[in-house]
Amino acid sequence: MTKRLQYRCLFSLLPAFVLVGGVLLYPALSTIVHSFFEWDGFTREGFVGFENYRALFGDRGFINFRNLSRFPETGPPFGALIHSIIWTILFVPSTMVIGLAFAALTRTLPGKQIAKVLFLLPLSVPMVVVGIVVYFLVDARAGLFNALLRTVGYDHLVQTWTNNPNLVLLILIAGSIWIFSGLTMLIYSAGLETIPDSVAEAAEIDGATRGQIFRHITLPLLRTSHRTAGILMTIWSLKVFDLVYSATLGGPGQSSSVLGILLYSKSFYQLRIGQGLAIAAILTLLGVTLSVLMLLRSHKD
Amino acid sequence: MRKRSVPATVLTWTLAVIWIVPLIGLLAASLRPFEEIVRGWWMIADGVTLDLSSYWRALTFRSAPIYHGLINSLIITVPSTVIPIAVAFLAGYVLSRYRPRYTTAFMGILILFIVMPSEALIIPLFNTFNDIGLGGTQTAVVLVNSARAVPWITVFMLNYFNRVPTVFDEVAIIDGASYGTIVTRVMVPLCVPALISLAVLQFVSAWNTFIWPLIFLQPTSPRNWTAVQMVPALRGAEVVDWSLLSSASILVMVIPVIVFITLHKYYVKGLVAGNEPH
Repeated sequence: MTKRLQYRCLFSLLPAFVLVGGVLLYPALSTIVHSFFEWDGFTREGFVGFENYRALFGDRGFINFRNLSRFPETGPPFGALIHSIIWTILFVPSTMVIGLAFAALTRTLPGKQIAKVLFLLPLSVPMVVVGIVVYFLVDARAGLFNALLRTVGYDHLVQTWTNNPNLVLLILIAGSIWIFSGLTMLIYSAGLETIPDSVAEAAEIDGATRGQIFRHITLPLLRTSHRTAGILMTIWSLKVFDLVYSATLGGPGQSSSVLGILLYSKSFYQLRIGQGLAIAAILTLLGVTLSVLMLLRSHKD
Repeated sequence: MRKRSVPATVLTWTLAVIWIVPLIGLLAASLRPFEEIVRGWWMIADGVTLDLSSYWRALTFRSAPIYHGLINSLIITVPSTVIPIAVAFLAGYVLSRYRPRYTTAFMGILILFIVMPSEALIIPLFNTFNDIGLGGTQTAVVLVNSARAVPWITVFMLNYFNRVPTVFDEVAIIDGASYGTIVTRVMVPLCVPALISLAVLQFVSAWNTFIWPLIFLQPTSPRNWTAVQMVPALRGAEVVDWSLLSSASILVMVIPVIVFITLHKYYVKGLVAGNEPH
């Protein structure tokens, strides 16, 4: 490449370098390095090694070993780390299964464009509003969910469900599944388009049942869709923040606190910056490791 | 193609309608007085009263005036959409056509930030922007929104340019077009559908962003806040004013939802192409 071309490349890429380097890369490195320092408010003190991480694992807001060891006699809070892991474990497969079901159902549906818009609509709603909608649905007085309970005769169960420490996390997870199933539907719809009808027809002629075709032909052929959906949903489930903030602020009594909420409250309420940075580093590590693992796994297939 | 059964069609459409019932409920609540909401927004037997006063209250609410929020959101969202698309368009073009030596390394960094939760950066970004005098400004929010979008838009454009035949560039060069002319007069028109998709996705995403306005603008006067940021502030701790909260929510979501519905073809295309395996 000539000098002139090299300068042209550099010049064209400069804005991207500045934004990515200054606003993403530098803060990311700073997060990891500074999580090994002691902090007094927003002032950095000396190097302390893993002290912030040690403090974090001794903090019940992060991981509550006492409640965990007494499960199922004792319910939540289990700590933000465990809540985030529960979120990932329930959210990722649910959105994938529901999205795949929607994709299959809408494939030949009359008016499928409109149906898909309806399934996708919640995705364009601000997550903060989604938190309010979830709260509104399960409110003791105005909530549709409680009205349904009354209709089927379970009046004694009526309550504001987001105030129930045992169930609040599950309700918020359900809300997030509602939003993101539209996105996984899109991913799977695109995947299904790439499978020609002739594949299933050939298998049918060979005597395969619809269940067998689905399990042994369609599902394996969708593996790039599984990978995309799996990575996207995993990342999202780890970084969830807005939804919880607006619905419950992590309450009642930290029962719905997740890593994002704890990171924010450690940093901006408790002013424990060292621990905040440690949570941020753990969040980064979890997101990147899980994504890389899924990428490698699907490449091996 | 296999014939479709009637029950499956009915089931799918029922599901699609159920899927938006929560949003219909929010809209209904915003249009009815509080007494009717607590009896149930779906109840129509005892009469329906149209009450729009809660919209006015939300727009002018003292501790969170949504009217200001909507203007601030526009002021922040428009540059948050234009800047990253312009920056990543140029980056994607150069990476696709010239493949400089550092392409692989740069792509690696971009992909790292696509999979990394950007929430993890709140502390250093808060510190840095304070140090350089941008703490508490909407500029800080615009810069973070833009930077977060550059990685995925660059990868998106790189893949897009890889499919645009280089013949277009070659013909333009033979015609004596300069580099700037090729980018603005040849490549931009070729990418219009992709650019609309990116603009729709990024507009909706930047409008809906919550954590960055929260970090940078929450300590300042509510008059600087974005619309989305104001919603949690309107949620009372004990007694919830559902009229106010539902009207505020509708006001805050109406712009991204309208953008999505009118341009859903581009939104969907962008999402699918953006998440395609590479």
